[in-house]
Amino acid sequence: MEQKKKRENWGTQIGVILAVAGSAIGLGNFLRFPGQATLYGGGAFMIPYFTAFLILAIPLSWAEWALGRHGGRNGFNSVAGIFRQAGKSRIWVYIGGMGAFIPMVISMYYACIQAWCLAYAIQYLTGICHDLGLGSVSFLGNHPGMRLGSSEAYSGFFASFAGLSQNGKIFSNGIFTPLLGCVTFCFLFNYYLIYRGISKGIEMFCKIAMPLLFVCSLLILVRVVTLGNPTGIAGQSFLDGLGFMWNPTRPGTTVWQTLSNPETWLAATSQIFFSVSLGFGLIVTYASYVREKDDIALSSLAAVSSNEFCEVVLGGIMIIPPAIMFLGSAGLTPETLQSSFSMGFITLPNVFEQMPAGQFFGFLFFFLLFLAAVTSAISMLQPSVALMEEGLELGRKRSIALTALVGGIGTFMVCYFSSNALVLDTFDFWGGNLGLFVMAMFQTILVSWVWGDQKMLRELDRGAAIRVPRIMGWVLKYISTPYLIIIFALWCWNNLGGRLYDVVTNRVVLFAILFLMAAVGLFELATWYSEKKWIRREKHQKRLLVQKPETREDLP
Amino acid sequence: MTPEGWFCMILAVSAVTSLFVWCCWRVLCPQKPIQLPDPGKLAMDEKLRQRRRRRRLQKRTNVR
Repeated sequence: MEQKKKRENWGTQIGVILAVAGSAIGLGNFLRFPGQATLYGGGAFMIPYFTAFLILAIPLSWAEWALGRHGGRNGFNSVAGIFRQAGKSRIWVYIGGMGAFIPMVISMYYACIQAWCLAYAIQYLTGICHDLGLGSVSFLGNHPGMRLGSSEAYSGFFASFAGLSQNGKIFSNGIFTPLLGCVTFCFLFNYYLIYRGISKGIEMFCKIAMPLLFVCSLLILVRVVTLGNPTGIAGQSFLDGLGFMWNPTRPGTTVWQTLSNPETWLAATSQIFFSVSLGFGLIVTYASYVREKDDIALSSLAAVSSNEFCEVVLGGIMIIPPAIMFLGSAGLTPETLQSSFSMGFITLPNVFEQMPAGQFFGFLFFFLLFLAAVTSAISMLQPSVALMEEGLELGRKRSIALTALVGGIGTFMVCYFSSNALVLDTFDFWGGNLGLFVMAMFQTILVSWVWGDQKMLRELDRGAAIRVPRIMGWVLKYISTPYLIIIFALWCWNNLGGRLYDVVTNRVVLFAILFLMAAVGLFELATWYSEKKWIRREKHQKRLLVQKPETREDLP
Repeated sequence: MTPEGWFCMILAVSAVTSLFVWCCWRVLCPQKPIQLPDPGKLAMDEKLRQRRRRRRLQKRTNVR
């Protein structure tokens, strides 16, 4: 299919790898993984984790890259168009429309989390945000850094700062508060990078941000590894901290008991699934901008391995040990380990306060979280911008404006209805969890059963720098797909009931769901309109071919 | 840290690091792209194989 305007492409292979790795590497690598691994068996957790990595992460990642590049070769960059190209039925277009909607939903609350990270980083560096949410704003630097003294104080600070105690709290000091300033900055910065395009915006930023992120994490890792036993208390050395996370046996449980618990497998698979950004529609969109003769097999593996390095090596060593060293095991309750926000914004600031040069390392840590959040957030906006540009033919500025309008309303809702982070939690569950599982399942079925695993392998072989084992087609079809379906069923069994009850009983949750449904309707309407345009364009091109038979190359 | 904990950590960290380093090396030091068999050539080879098989069968039949 010919494109009238010049198609965007990634500048270099490293650029696309860093962009995809950036979209995958996020807060979950550093805050969620250590907690999940510690809660569900430590070293024993790595068995289901690596099993899921081999049979889910790698095959599905290859499938997404292949699907995306195939769509890109045929002139489609939107998930709806890419699914239309691969699927035989019209239903796939509308399923693909969800591939633009789901990352959009995630981006709405991700801007807030990004702002939290930025505000904390600024606070560590300059101390100007100290009185955030506590009734007055200080820009005078009278309270340099973050020194609140206790876990309870940090918990109270975070609750007040993020407005968790009351709806509209973060607007109560007027609209020009540091947190709202950070949210606005993050929101506009994300859209600015998207506006600049694939190679000059996303790729350029990732080429700077990702190496910087690695450098920051390595500095913190070196700091943590060289701490020894800073408090002198027995049982609180660096090795004790490592053992708290990595020892496979826990008091009262054996390795076999851990491994035979379905919760362990569900937790490990969910961690891999959410960590590698499967089912978001991001990888499919990013891969559609890869040139026909460029490699995607090695690029996919490199992106996935970068994500795992940050998660297992960096996240696995630099988070839990310092918490044990300075707070002891009492400082890491199951509730803290289960909640990424508690770990990141309450427990770790308490650790940094006690750490030598902790203010500097606190700044480094929240700055790296901010970078990880930006690279993830911009990847979540690209699918919807691609749908607007390609399907509605709106042009870049209008596509971004429309996406920003919908995203802005969602972000405002997250900021305003901040009591217990209810809207954030609702968006996260229905969009960022359930929606992802559903999309990933449909995507896997599309690639392995509709488009075909052999076509996937042929696409991976184009320009490949490594040879993908042929057995991957069989693994994707007969192992990954059923495994994903089983995990999804287990996850629904565990989580869906309570959430449905909340929709019925809580007005704010119901309002958030209604907003999501309206947004889905808007995206599916855009998809329907896009499909009509694509059909009209294809008919027109066929007519042109019929009218000029001497120019047709496929005549016998 | 127990010996099992050391084992788990070293195994996990070294596996992930090895894969990461190998991928970095392959990306930063590109090698010759893999040569995929040409589908046309494959089809021709198959035809030649079948022709040879038919000739061998014919020769055996003639000898008998």
